[in-house]
Amino acid sequence: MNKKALSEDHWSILVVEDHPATRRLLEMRLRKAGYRVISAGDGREALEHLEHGFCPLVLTDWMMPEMDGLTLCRAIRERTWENYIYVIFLTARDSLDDVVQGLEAGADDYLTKPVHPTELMARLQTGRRLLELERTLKERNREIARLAITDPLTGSYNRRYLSDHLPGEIRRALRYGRPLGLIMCDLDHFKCVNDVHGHGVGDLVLQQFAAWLQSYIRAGVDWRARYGGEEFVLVLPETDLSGCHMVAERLRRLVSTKQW
Amino acid sequence: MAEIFNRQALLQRVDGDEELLENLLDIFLDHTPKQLLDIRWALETGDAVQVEGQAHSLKGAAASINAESLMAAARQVELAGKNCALEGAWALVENLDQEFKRLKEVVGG
Repeated sequence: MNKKALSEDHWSILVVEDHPATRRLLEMRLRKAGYRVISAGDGREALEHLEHGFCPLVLTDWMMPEMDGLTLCRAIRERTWENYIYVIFLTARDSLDDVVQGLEAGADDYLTKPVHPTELMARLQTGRRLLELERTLKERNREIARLAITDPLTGSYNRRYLSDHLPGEIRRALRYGRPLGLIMCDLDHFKCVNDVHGHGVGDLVLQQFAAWLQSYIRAGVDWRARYGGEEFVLVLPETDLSGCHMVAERLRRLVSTKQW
Repeated sequence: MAEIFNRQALLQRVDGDEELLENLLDIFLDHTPKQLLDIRWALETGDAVQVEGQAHSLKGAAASINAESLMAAARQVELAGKNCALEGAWALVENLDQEFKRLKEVVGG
């Protein structure tokens, strides 16, 4: 039997099979290969399991009481899950019609009994490869989304984020009659810094400035966005004009007194 | 002529795990009497779908534990259910019961 080691994060698999002996055999084989196995005796039980705890792999029989494999497969495809569920049929039903029906119902693969354990493991591996691909894509999407709203130099939100979110903050403040503070900061003589010391130093100055801004505002409540080259906007919910004035003055004093 | 039970083949199937083999046999011998009753009841009530379904399940499990002749008998009953040929199925179910008895003797259950 092919005992290709699974990666550290153990893969869960839901085995759906009505006969207890067959189910046991499958459970043991899969556990031995490193899978975390959950089992169900019919389609209905399987769906319940999936609803309570997501499982990316499903190995199911076709003919079962209560709800058969075909109905289960369709039910899985009808709903939305947090991630893709890879479904493999493992059944004695082996006509061409059966295979086509199974695949059309949404199964990713179709195996007929008796299946050689090595083949079963290999096909599960194929499923894992697809799921890994999904994982990678989702990770990349998250990264792209993050990049789209972040200023790469300072880690602040960027102007796009500001134009997307500031209107909402304003609307909220107006609706509930709450104060909303906005501070527009700009570094004086910044152009000189770039001209005299070079852009590398200029970048460091901006990073330092942005970091100070971050430390002066309330985490998780206030936020900062880079508006332009050396311009930053601070958004301070629940802060009135005098509050803003205090923060702004503190910042101004800090920047003017610090040795760079 | 189909074999009643091939212990060696089953042992190989479970990678030499004697404990698992015994476990599987226990489960099977435990579960089958009820399944046979269900098949009889389905036949009584003319439920061809149930006859087919239960016999199919038994067939599959018998195959998993290398009980070939029981598997063959179950296949016969499954076909009867599938084809809705229930009148002739009683003899087949008798045969199925017999095969199970034989298996129990051989396994020592």
